Amino acid sequence: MTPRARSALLGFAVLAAACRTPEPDATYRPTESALEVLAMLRLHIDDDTYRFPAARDFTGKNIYYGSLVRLERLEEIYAEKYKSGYLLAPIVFGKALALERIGEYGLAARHYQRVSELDGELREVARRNRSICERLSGALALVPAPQARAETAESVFNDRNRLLEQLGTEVEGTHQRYLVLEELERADRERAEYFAGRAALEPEFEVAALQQYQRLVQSHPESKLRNRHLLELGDQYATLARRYVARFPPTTLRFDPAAFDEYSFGATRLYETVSQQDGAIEKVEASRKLEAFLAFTLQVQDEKLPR
Amino acid sequence: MRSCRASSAVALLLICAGCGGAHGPTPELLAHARPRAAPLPGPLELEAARLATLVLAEWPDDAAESAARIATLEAETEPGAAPPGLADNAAELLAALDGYEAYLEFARQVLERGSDDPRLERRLQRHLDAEPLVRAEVHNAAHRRGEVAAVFNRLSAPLSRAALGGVMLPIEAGRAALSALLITHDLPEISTRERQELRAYEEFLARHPDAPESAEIAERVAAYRERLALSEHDEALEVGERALAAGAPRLAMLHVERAERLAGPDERSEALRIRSDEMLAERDRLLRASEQAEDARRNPNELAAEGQLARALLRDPPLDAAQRAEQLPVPLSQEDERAFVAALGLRARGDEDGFADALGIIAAPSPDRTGMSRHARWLLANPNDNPYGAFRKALGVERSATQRWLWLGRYAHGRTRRDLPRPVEWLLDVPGFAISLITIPQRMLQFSSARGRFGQPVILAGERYVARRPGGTHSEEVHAALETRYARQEHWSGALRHYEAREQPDPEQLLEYRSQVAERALAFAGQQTRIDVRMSIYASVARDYPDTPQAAEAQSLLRDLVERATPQEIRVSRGFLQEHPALWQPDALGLRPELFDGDGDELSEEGITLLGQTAISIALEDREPELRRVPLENFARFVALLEEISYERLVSDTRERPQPDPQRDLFFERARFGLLEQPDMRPSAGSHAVFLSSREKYGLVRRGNPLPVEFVIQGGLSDLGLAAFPRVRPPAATPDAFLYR
Repeated sequence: MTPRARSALLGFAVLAAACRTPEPDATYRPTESALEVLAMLRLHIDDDTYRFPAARDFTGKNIYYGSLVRLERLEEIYAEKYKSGYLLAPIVFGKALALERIGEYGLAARHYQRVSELDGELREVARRNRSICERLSGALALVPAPQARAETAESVFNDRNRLLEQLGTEVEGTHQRYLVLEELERADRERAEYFAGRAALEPEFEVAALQQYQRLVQSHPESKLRNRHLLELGDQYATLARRYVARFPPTTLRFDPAAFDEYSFGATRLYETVSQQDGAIEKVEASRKLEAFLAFTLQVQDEKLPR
Repeated sequence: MRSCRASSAVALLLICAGCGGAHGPTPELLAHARPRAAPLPGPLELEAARLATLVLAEWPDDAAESAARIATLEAETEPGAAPPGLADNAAELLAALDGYEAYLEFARQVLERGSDDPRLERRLQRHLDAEPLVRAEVHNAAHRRGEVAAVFNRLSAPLSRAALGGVMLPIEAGRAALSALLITHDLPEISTRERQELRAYEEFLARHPDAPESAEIAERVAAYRERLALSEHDEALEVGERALAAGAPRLAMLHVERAERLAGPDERSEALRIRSDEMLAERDRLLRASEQAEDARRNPNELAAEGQLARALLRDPPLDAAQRAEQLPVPLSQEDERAFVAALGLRARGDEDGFADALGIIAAPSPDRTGMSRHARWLLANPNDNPYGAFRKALGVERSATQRWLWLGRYAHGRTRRDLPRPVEWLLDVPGFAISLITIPQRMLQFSSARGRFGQPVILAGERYVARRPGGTHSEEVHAALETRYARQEHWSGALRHYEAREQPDPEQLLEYRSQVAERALAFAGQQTRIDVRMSIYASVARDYPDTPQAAEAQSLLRDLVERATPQEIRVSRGFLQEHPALWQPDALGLRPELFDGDGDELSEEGITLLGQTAISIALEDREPELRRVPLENFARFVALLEEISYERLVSDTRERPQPDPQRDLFFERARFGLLEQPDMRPSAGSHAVFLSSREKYGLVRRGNPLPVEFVIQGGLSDLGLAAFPRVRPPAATPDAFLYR
């Protein structure tokens, strides 16, 4: 059917809806509510949640989480009506989609599994989605062991990226491509956090941690979390500046203003960049961090007088 | 915290025991039943389910046919019968399948033709309102309205006063004329609404880079960006200039650099940079000068004496060094050094005043003085080294501030800063200044209650003194001053602390202060929602202030809290229950209908309260509340209904706003899943959510003025003014406006 024909049918449906009398029959409320939730879910399922924040429902909650909760509520309220199973496949499939979109891949796979065991048009797509969710869940499980050496950890993170990149090519053109991008970003972030964590105890990892955060910023320039990444990179520079001052107090002869400036310059610029992002919630955090860090640098400079 | 948990657990156990859960609900209040069996789905519902399946499976053609069948089936409803109302939902679902643009088109169509379902209309309208270009238009309109309001409102008040005439007519007329001239100066370079508009345009470009209107929008964005950068540039330079005026050249330099990054260097930034550099250079020069050794050539005797003095100072305790300095034959040029060492001896003896006097002599300006006079001046000026001097100075500051306020009122600190040439600023303040002089008697009447606000410098300096010179020569004087200042500010714990530190405190006054502290603590506890915080405050009042009348009250409140504390306190009012009867049907809460019939035992306005697990408190008129437990399945259903009704209200009532409450949501989620065997006793896990009916929340009459103009009657004792004038209501700021400043 051509889109024009579909539009004509849609117009017919709209007209029919507009011509009816008020006060709809409450008997149909369970079906109507389910259709409403599924419509919202379907509308937003293709949203690019890698670049833009997820839409929100009337309660201000993430639309996917809100849809999941509403479907669960409807199952509770209309348990008697739904008992016959006429809406079982769409509701379970809808819940699976919502779970998948909030990153609960294991649970989503189980819901898809349930749908794939039922007869109907959703069986095949549920099988395919289950497989993707299981692979995503498997990739997420790849984390370095607590005692792992740095090289081993690096290799684990590389394996995770490789798996996700391979999956990314397979899901090209589907809504799952955004999930894969989000997971790649999460993997990069966890890698950076891992090295930053090690750097807190082993100073030789400081440069590696900084590089990982720089890589995170450079690899995901379009991400909705870009401001967050910039803030975290700024935090890294600020931490290094503070550590430098702790190691070489400004009043000592070993303090090198140029070395300190290298770190403080990075932190100041990054905080400043985010503090200028109108409408971003990170703006407030960055403004306050910038203020606090400037106070710290002024104190350091004052202690190091004269220039 | 632990005691709170234990007490809450005991309370809940008592409730549950009282409910007699194993014996079923008490018949006179609750009557529960399983949900009634629902009819099997008819052809229309089966077709709707098929449509949902087809849409989720992404079979658009079959879905379109299915939606058409639903519309046909619905059209066949018998005339006069209630329509099923599924056709518009089917159309919506189908539109959602075709993507966002198709959905928006569908929304426009429905809103244009109108729908019988107001909920659907509201949902669709919300989608259209959320579109970036629509938001940009709304912000633009609000910005323009804000500008009109700013201009109109600035003129209307003084013009109205001028029209009313009286002795102030010439002054008010002048003020109106000046206000008119200054309006454009006072308007911001780029308003918050314009920044919101810019953000909406940028979002549009990011989401729809290939849209036909993108090129035009990009031009607008570039223009706004340029204005924003200039505005932030100017702001950075203003802050830098203030920093330089406050003697902080490094901070000024940071702001200059920021301004230049935003919009490049210009004359103003260059000038500020040069001035900052000069101030830094001067500071460095002074510092280097102080560190340089004197180049004077001295004879060997002088050098030997100087060496002896230095050795004595470094080697001996200050008292011995001072004595030794007295005996050394130092030359006249080293006399100040000797006097300084002697002064250090006075300080070591605890002679604060002697030390200050000695430093005063060394610091006195004289052409013969050596570098020691600068050190002495610094010690005298530094509040940490001369805390009593700083305290005396603060007393002077307080006195002067009080006098200025008495005589000049709000002009005590001079003219109002408007970023204008100084004469213009003074000229603008002439009328207000005249009124300030007329209202001196009024301020004299207010003096006793207002003087507390001037004591802060004395408090700061006094606290510094008592911290650095505990038991010092002037302790009694300073403690007395601090006690008085704290008492004026009704800062009772501060007053008590310093009164206790005085030499002979009066027991009655002491008790008075202790009572005030305890009273304040009880009032503070009453404002706390967290039970553990309240308990801890009550316990501390009872423990630390046993001699006050408040101790007994704290004990009583604590006992009451321990007995009545529950993990949750979520209230559902009677009005809300009456508005939504499904909540208390036998398959949900199971309240008996007799509780609502106005006869016999009647549910009070307070309604019911969820206490944790499945326990509820039922508030009855003229009786103590009854505690009951609801069967788990019924409770889960009740909670699901409560949440769904709240959602529906948000959809259908434009006055409703989401009330985020994670504790409430988590409790409800656990209830729906039947995970309430163990109560969550953490005080932070409790919710105090309240569900009120529309009437209880908003009243019968719609509040607020729907018109864009309001009429204001304004008068005040401070300016002896009385005026009545129209005022354009400026658009209200959006909740996220703080992210655009």
